[in-house]
Parts: sequence; structure tokens; C-alpha cells
Amino acid sequence: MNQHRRLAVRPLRGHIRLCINKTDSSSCPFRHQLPPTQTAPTSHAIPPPIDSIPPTSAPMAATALRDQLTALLSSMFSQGLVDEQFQQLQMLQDEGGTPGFVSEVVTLFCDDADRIINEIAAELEQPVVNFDKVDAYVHQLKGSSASVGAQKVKFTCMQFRQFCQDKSREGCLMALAVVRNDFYDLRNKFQTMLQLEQQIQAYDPKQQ
Amino acid sequence: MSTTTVPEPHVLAVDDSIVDRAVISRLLRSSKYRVTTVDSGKRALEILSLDRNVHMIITDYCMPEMTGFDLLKRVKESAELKEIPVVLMSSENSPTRIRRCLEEGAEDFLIKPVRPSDVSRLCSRVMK
Repeated sequence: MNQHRRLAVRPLRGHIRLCINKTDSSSCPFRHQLPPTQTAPTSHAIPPPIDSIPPTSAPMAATALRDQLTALLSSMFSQGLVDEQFQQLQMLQDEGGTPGFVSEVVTLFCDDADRIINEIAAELEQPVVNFDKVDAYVHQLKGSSASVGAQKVKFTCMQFRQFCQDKSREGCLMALAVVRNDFYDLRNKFQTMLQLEQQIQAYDPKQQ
Repeated sequence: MSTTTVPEPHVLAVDDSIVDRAVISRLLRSSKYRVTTVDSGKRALEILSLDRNVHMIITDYCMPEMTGFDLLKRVKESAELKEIPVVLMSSENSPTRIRRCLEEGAEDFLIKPVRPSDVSRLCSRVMK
């Protein structure tokens, strides 16, 4: 089985540092479980397949990919998409020797959030909206967002709950649109992050 | 000379959120605890009826059907289970809720998201 490297980005003294850790390829469920992107392509271009890159260019390509990953994660933190809790998960993975932990949690979150958003949408389509039920769903989404460090989604959920308490269908529908957009944006970036990690591992399997 | 292997303390983690179960499980395992996770208070009571070797229960407060508070009460009302420390977790920082749980016998009340430092502090204190 090929050894491949999991990448963890850990902030250090206010800067994003790229830390390389070893893992084995079986502990990486995230890449197989994320649904396809459902919004417009992100600004983060996916690198070309490894077999199209001449072997002599592999180290340069790996470096470029690492730079791309660092930039992506840096932007996710600076845009407020993720917060310190996401760093905590990365540290748990790195320090606990549990490769694939971040992937696992992020995958669970994305699946769970997708389900909850669909449940909320269905509830808001009912002739009579059960706002307590909608609020309960939003509370769930807020909780799981906080647990993975999905800061922007969490904050949007906090505003959403206000519309639930006001029993405003229109407000809830607007908030749902914002939550959905924020979630899709985050999911796209998580997907790109994982794809970059896979490409880096493929280019540089010797890293231990 | 023989050596005795000390078994890892066993923690029962209860949370209806699959994401939170994964996180709390990892946090506890990083502190060298054996962890069983369940998604409801009802399921937790089933586990406790089968396995008395549980050293701590850590449960979410807000869960459907049986809340973490309900589970706390059931544990503290049971002659067989009442000595097991119970810790509550919630994303809502409600002083009323916290006081209510502590008065009912909870060992501690953690605000989510739970951090590694929360678990370390908790386990070193409660598990003694």
C-alpha cells in the first residue's frame, strides 16, 4: 500500500504553516465521499493529472501545489470560513497520530449539513411551517458547524434562528438561501483542499 | 517479575450529532480513554444495563426524546448507576441550564465546541 502524506495547515504566531505528516492511504475516506460540486467552479484551479507532468518537473509541481494549498487554507481562515476549531481538529490529527481524522469529520459534516439543509427546505415548503422544527434543524446545523470550525455557516445559522423565533417564512427562506450558499462555498473549498492534498501526495510519495 | 496492565477507563459518549460524536470520541481517545458512542439517551441506558464498566458518561444536553438532563436524572436515580460521573455538554451557554444540571448531580458542564483542554481538565479531575 502506498504511503501518502496528509497535509495539515497549522497557524503559528498568526501565520499559516504547512506541516507534513505521514499517513496511509486507506485512512482517507473524504475524497470518495464528498458529493460533486453543485455551484459555479471556484477560483482555485485543480492541477493537471500527474501523468501529464514530465517526471523532471514533479518537484516543482509539488511545490506549486503546496503553495496553492497554503494559499487556499490561508484564504479560508482570513475570509472567516473556518476558525480556530478547525485548527484544533488538525492538531488532534497531527498530535494524536490519527491520519484521516480531519477528512472523516469534514465528510461527516458535509453529508450532515446537506441533509439538514434539505430538511429545512422541505419544511419551509409546507403550507403551515413548523418553525420550532425548523429552529431545531438550524440548531443542529449550528452545532455541527461549530464542531468542525465552519465559522461562517455557524454565524449564518445564528441569524437564521432569529427568523425562526420571529416565525417569518420570508426571513427563513432568505436565511436558508444564505446558509446554502455559504455551505456550498465551504464544501467546494474542502473538496479542493482534499484534491490538492491527493495531488501533492502523488507527486511526492517520499515525504515521511 | 510480572507486570499488570491497567485497562483504559471507559467513557460513554452520548450525542445525537454524528459530527459531535466523531469529535468527542477523538478527543477522549487522545486522552487514552476507551470510548463507546451512542446517539441517544435511550441507547445509553441500554448500554449501561449491559456494561457496568463505565467510568464516566459525557452527554449532549439537547437531544430529541430524552435530553441529556433526562439521562442525568435517570442515572442519578439508579442505585446501580448513580456513582458514575455524568458530564453535560451544550452549545448554549445558559446559566439556568448549567445550574440545573449541577444541582441534579452533574460533575461538570462543557460548552461546545469542546476543546482538548476541556477534556484533559475534566478527565484528570473526574476520573480520580
